[in-house]
Amino acid sequence: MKIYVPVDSSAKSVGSESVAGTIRAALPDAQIVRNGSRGMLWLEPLVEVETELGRVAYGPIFPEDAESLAQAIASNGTHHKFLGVTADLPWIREQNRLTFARVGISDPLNPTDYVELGGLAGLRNAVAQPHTIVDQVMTSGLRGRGGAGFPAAIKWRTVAQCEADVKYLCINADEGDSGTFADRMLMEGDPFTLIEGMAITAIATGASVGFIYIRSEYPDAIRVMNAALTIAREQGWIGNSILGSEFTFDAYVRVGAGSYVCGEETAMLESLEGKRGMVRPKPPIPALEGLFGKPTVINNVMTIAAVPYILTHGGEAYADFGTEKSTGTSVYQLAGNIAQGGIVELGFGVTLRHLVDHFGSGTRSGEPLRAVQVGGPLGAYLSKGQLDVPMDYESLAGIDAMLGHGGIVVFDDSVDMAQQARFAMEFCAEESCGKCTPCRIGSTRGVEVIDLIIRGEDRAGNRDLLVDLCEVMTDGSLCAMGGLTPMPVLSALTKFPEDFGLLPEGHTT
Amino acid sequence: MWESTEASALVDSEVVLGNPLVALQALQSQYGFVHPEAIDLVAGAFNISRAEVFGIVTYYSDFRTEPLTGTHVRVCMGEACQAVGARSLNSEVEHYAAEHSDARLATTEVFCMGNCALGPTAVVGETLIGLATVDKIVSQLEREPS
Repeated sequence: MKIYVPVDSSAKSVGSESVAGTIRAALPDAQIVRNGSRGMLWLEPLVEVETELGRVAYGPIFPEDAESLAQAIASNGTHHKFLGVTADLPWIREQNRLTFARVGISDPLNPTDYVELGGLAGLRNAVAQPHTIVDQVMTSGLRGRGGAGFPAAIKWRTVAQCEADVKYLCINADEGDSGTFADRMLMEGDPFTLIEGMAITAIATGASVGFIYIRSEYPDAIRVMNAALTIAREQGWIGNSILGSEFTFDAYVRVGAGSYVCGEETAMLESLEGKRGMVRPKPPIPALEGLFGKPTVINNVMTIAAVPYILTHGGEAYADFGTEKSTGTSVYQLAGNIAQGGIVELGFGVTLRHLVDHFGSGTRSGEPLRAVQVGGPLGAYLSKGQLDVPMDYESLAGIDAMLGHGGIVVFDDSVDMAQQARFAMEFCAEESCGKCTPCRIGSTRGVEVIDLIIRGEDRAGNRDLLVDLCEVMTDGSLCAMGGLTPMPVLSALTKFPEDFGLLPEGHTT
Repeated sequence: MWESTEASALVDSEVVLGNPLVALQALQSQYGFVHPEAIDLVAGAFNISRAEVFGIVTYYSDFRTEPLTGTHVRVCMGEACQAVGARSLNSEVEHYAAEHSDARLATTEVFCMGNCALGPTAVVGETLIGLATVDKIVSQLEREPS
């Protein structure tokens, strides 16, 4: 008998280690597989049992439920946390899992399972027809999933055309946005997909050395990626001769040290060189002069993890999902005050309402929803009236918001939006690298001005001052840290003026 | 305990493939903090100024220049955790720490552990706790080696 108990760190945070121990002790003959998470995080720890019907799920199985579940499994009895066949659960069935196809299915570090589940087909095609890789990715329309949405194929072509003794591939796994955890779950639950994507990217661009920059807050992801790289080397998937071909590529994990701004690509390069994570001015763009001054591909985990699917099924198959300009799927992450939080992978263009109401089932507290922050700490706060926005790059930009890394954080009506706006400035002051003045000084002044508004000192005048400060930060900052901090601030101010003791725009006393 | 010869060997092992940041991380992982002598050691090994090494140590919030006293309790203050009560959880934990100075715990705020669907989130020592409450944090504290 096979029983699956997730080893994902979110599952562990609610007791899956203890659950696995109890089941192992009660059912010594059963084979316990420690898989990744299926992404239904509100049901974690989600225990699955292989049966004649397929894999059936029970959840959430907290440590106190484990003994009764083990007895039910042993006696073929029923259990009140039975959910049904996992693959038939609406939350799973209604998704388009392309990038996350294998996450949660098996032991993340079992290379045989990986190949049996369709892994490596993309890399085999890439090795057989290396000159078509960039074209396939161009056809797929794949855009950078870190937030900027830059077409991956154009970046790759630029690096491929550079002449250099060494080129680098840097994977941005510094997933610092609150409300995002897709990179972490993929690295913990299906690390070989990222490695396969990296090998394909390396073949396409001529990069010979890769780095995966993982934040120190993700110890499990660091451990799993290191182990997966060792296994991939042993299997010949990376190393001196990728799948027996003439291509050479090896990759290493580098660990961050607690700096949010190192998720900005040029700050990440500085950190990878062992320096303070200070932002570099652009140009030169990293594709021409990146790590140690060499041509460098920098992509997000989600961007590169989409590549094996594209090389397996073709660029057109990927482009069939999503909208005309935002092609493919996006891995949305439902977080915060939400009843059913987790991973939803769907084509771009699904509405925010569908994600929050249908998949998320509303707030966890049961109180009315008041605001949704989309795109991390630098993303806009949206009001209830904006929930019908389609979730793609263009539609969100159209309402002064952004998709970012796909994080969706729900707040109920207990939220104080003036405090959230203040927090955005405070966070920027804390995390600013200090290189440019609008970000370094502006964020501190921003906290002070918001405090004046909260205290009721010349509210209208200080609101105008805050709006002016935000304009300076937006236009004058070197990178997105200072440049986008005004987005949550101004959206809170505009959509929720009553929390600042202000009247809506256009109203006068 | 800091041991100069061992520390020097540790830094030397990072000179070829690593960098000053990696070397400092190795030293902190071995000794629990960045010892004052580590600055000279890393500066010498990588042929950079002491000021540059000091700059790295002070830039990154992971580095400590003094050892931790007691168990490290970190409460996540990211927006997703704030949406489910992280601000009040953090005050409760600080209140507990103030009332139990014998419990020997060091509290700090962190921004996001990637557990955003199961917040509030705390980390006690190395253990991640989802759907965190003061009771859960305290019971994990009792299980930590002192």
